[in-house]
Amino acid sequence: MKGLAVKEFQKQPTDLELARRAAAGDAAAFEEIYRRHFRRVYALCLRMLGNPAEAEDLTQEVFLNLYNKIGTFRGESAFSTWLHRMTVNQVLMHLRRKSTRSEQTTEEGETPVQIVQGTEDPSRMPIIDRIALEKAIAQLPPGYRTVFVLHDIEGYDHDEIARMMGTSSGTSKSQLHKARLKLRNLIRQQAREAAHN
Amino acid sequence: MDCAKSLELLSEYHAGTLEEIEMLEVRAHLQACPPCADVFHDMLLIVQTAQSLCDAVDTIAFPDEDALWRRLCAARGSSH
Repeated sequence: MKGLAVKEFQKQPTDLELARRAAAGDAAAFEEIYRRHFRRVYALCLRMLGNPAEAEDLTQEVFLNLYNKIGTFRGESAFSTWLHRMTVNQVLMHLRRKSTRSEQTTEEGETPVQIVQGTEDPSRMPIIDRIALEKAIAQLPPGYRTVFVLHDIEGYDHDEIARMMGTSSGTSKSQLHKARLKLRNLIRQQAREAAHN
Repeated sequence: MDCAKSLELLSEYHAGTLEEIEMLEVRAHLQACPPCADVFHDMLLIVQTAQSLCDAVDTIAFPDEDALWRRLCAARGSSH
């Protein structure tokens, strides 16, 4: 049984092998890559964009781009890391292309955050679950959301974020801080609304 | 240190990137000021929960994988 499991495991091609086959025109290999990575790519797009329809379109764009560029993957980093960076860059490009913003922003392009101290409720902010946080992230203004997702979820540092976004490390730090405070307000608001319903 | 200054520095305090004197001042303020300590506590919860989202996809409603694959194939066909 154990031998069989090992054999089954050995049958699975690596991402690098699949990428090489896909680059050589093997459509089934490209589909396997899509199946393996679709969820991670979509999740990243959704968190950065906050909009499912837009995230779906971007996921498609990422895989189209991947299809065209897969021959440039040399295996110097993990394929998932390479694809992750490609996705981040593509979402950032998309955000830059968007000329209009739906959020009201200040001249610096930031939404002022009002810090609410204390609680109406005797307890603190409710213990947050991941679903509540996902919902609040989707409500952040785009600039805050991008920095928060890249730093606090994806683990990029401020220098990397600044390079990718064409801003300064200080701007990244400032936006992250404001994003966290705004998330706190949004989560508290969600909790108040839930208590009234 | 007053509340406004302390709140402004919370993320850097959390990251440990403040000057030593400022780290001490924020720490002292948080010990003396429950409302600011609450904000810091909530911020920690947000950061910890966000970190747990990195590889989590269970909170996400995914679109139909097959339908998106078909869309992708159609778009690939039309782009060539």
